[in-house]
Amino acid sequence: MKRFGMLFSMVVVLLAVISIVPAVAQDDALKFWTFEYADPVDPFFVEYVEEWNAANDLQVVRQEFPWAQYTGEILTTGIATGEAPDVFFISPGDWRRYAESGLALPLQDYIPEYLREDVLPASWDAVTLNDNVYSLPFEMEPVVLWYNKEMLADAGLEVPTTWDELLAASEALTTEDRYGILLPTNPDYYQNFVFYPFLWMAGADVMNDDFSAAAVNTPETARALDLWGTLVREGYAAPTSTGNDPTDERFPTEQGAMFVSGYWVYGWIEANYPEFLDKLGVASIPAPDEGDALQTVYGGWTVMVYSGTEHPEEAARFAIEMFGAEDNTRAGEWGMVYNTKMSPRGSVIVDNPEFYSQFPHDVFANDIFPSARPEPSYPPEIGQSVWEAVQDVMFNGVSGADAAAAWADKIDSYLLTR
Amino acid sequence: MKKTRSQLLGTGGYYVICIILAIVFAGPFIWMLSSSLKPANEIFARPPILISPNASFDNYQEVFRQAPFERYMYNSFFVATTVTAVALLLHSMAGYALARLDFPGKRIAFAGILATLMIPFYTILIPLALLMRDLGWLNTYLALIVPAIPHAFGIFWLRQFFLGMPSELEDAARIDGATRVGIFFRIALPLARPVLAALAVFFFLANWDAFLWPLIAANEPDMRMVQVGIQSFTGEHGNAWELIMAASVIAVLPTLILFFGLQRFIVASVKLTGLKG
Amino acid sequence: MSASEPTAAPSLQSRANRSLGQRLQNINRDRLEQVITAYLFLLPDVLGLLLFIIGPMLLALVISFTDWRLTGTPEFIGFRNYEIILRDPKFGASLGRTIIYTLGFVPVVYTLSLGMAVLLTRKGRANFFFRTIYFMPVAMSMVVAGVIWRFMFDPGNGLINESLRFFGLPTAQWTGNVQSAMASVLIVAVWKNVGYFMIILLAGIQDIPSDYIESAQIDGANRWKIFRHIILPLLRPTSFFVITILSINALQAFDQIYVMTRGGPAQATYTLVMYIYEKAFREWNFGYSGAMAAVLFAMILVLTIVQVRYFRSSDERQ
Repeated sequence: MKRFGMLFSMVVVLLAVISIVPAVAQDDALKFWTFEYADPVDPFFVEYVEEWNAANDLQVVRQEFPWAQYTGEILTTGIATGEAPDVFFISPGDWRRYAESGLALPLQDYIPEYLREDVLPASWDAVTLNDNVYSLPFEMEPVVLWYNKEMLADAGLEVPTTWDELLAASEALTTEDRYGILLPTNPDYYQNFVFYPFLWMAGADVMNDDFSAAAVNTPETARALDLWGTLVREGYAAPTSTGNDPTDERFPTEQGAMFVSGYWVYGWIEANYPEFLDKLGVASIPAPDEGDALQTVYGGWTVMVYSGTEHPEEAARFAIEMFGAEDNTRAGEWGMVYNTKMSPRGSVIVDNPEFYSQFPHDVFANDIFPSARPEPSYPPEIGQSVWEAVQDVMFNGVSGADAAAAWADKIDSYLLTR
Repeated sequence: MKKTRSQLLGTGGYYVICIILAIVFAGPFIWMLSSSLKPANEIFARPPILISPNASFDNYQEVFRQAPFERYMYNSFFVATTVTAVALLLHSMAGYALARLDFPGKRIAFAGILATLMIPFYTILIPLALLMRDLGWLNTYLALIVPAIPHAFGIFWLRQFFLGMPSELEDAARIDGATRVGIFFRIALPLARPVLAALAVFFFLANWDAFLWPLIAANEPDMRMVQVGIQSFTGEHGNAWELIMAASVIAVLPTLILFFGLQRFIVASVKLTGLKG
Repeated sequence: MSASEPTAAPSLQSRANRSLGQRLQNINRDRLEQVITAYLFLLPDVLGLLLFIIGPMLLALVISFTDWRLTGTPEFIGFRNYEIILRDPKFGASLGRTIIYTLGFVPVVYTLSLGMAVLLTRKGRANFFFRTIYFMPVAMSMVVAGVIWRFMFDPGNGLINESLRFFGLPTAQWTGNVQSAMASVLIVAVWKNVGYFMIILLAGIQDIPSDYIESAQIDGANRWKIFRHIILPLLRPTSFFVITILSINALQAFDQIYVMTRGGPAQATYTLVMYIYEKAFREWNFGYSGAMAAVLFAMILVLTIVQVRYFRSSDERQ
């Protein structure tokens, strides 16, 4: 009975504690959410937030969240519970849904004239819907063909410039110990992102111009799909990854000779595999045939202001000044010092000629940048249809033509339900 | 003579099986341990480097330098021990009631408790977050601790255990005038020691390693728990595997130590007094 | 299920009571004490479960009858989400894969963990050591285990294929092939879970009165007979628990597969809970997601009832 009394008082104490603890006082402050950046990048935000807080009455509180859960669980739950941030980073994959759902504050009225002119028109297009600018672009990460110079030289190969050459090189470079080429294998937005340049260069696209119908049921789409399918089926491309498609560790550890991935690969290798830098080569993704126009995709997050914010003026100003201040130093440093990214502001390249004359930044500034097109933002259902088609040719032995037809059906039947 | 040989063979075979299994089960763990001591560029090297010539504890230092990992460990420890202590008591009470006591609504109660296991956590994540907001618990230990306590797993297991408990012991105590509460504390609980020891390990592990719920319920830096902290070493482009490995080794130790310490209670070979003798 | 299960009450009554009146009185008092104690004992947990799980479950159920896309007010649409499920090939396909996974996972984990528990029942330093080793995967984080297994499963020169080649055995594509992907994720899931359920069964075996085993040994029963006729039957309550929990876990498989394959290649390991997750957190179609969760709930419930019946009826036979 004594023990029971103890237990009873424990429950009482517990209930008392629960009722006493006060609701957390909601400070009047701007909430700024990003996903977690690596340690060397962090000071960028710390300094900017400090600078802002020193100059403004309305304070900013920044919070970081794990990368993998940021858009799925974190932002979704934040919106559902009304705890959504005033300013947050949004991926191209999610951008359209936020814009269409009325969650994004239109920003065009806050954007200063110099910024409107400095940022590439294509970058503005990618964040504009029905004449409203729903977020601010601040980085560009184009996709290229990275290769191991030593392996290509040993095999007596030139850097491939057509798809036939790419296939031949992938075959020649595949040995018992390594893959000829590394492509993304996980069914996800990232796979779509890397596949787009192949699709576009073949002369195809996912949707027609006014987004009213699928445009994928064409021989061109089939050709792009078949290229990826062949690479995997023949065993030239790895069918799995170590877990991280954008930074496949097998490339710098010389278990893969070529690697289709983004600009960030350079910074990642510089930080983690400095001994590999000597062997690192970079080129545009090959075009289907000799003389075809080169094209690639660039990704990059954008910064969005929540439409429900209580301080639209300040939130918009905070978002714009982060990367869009008249002095482009911070915008440039984001890509040149803190990360390996490009700024969508043309003035950054013009103002930093020395940086953009070094490898590999020169290749990006001169060759890649002009042919880069922003990552399109599709509704999740359409995004999913892209990787389902790619996965089908890679792993289910489906022909490019059949996969393209099924893909078009999925998009069109989705459009009917909208 | 023959028999000894076959016995020897049997014992030998037994150990061969145990050792092969041990290699399979410990392999990835050793890999993790070895990776945590390597520089980043050796983790995925081929052929694999088991013991790196560059081995050092740098990654461990870096983990504590980059994040207040000791704070995360404190949070995890506080949450896990509190949940474990309270849950063990409450669940054994509930399990005992469901197994040994007769009361109206017993079947419904058991079925209802069991049913709470059958829903994916993702489905109740947002309703639960809404509840926390309305209670004002977001970013408090309450949000981390209180919803983690009620869980059908422990109740169910303890019920199954108490079902098999011989009733003679209880009867004897009843004749001596003991109350149900007294029987529970003096007879049933001590008998349940193997299950309680195992459950203590499981509850501690589940809460120490909790990830999704702490991420949603308490996202302020000071309130983070260990697994959320480890996830901060993943990023947009590439994961800092060397730090993740080091942090994971640190994270795994408390559970293993607890298991080490409590194992003798789980396998206590309690000699129950014979039922009929 | 209470009726067939032993409670302390009957034997007590028969011993302690003589006259009818006294007996009734005592039964009433005894019964009252039982009821009060039971309710008090159940109260905290039941309150907690009602508030933190059943309440949110009911809310999700309500949402499943609406069209709710995170923003705006939910619109009541009756059973439309449930009708869509019937026509949704992706639902059927992911359910089918979930069932295949469950059919692989439950028997293999149960058999292996039971075997290991029986092997390691006795005290001793070696057994102590091996039990700790077998428990290690349980304590490891799935993210770390996932990356290590992915690297070991690499079809090119992963450790597993290299070892197979070394012994002259055929290699496989593991997670890189639609045929072998499910088996590969099952291997990892079994590896991760066996130690956990071994502990549960070990605790269950400890509960078996040792004089049963001793007297059987005196009667000359061999190990297999002791296992078959004493340990296995007396372990039934624990076995029922383990199999029920394993089935519930397997039908909700997500994490362990997600870190290995993200549901790929070509959806070969895409489970129902992945679909439920994506509909909610990727597409914000909470109504449909909730409806699928409700259907999954109903299926698990039916399966559990079948298991309860099976274990009860075979108990009665004995």
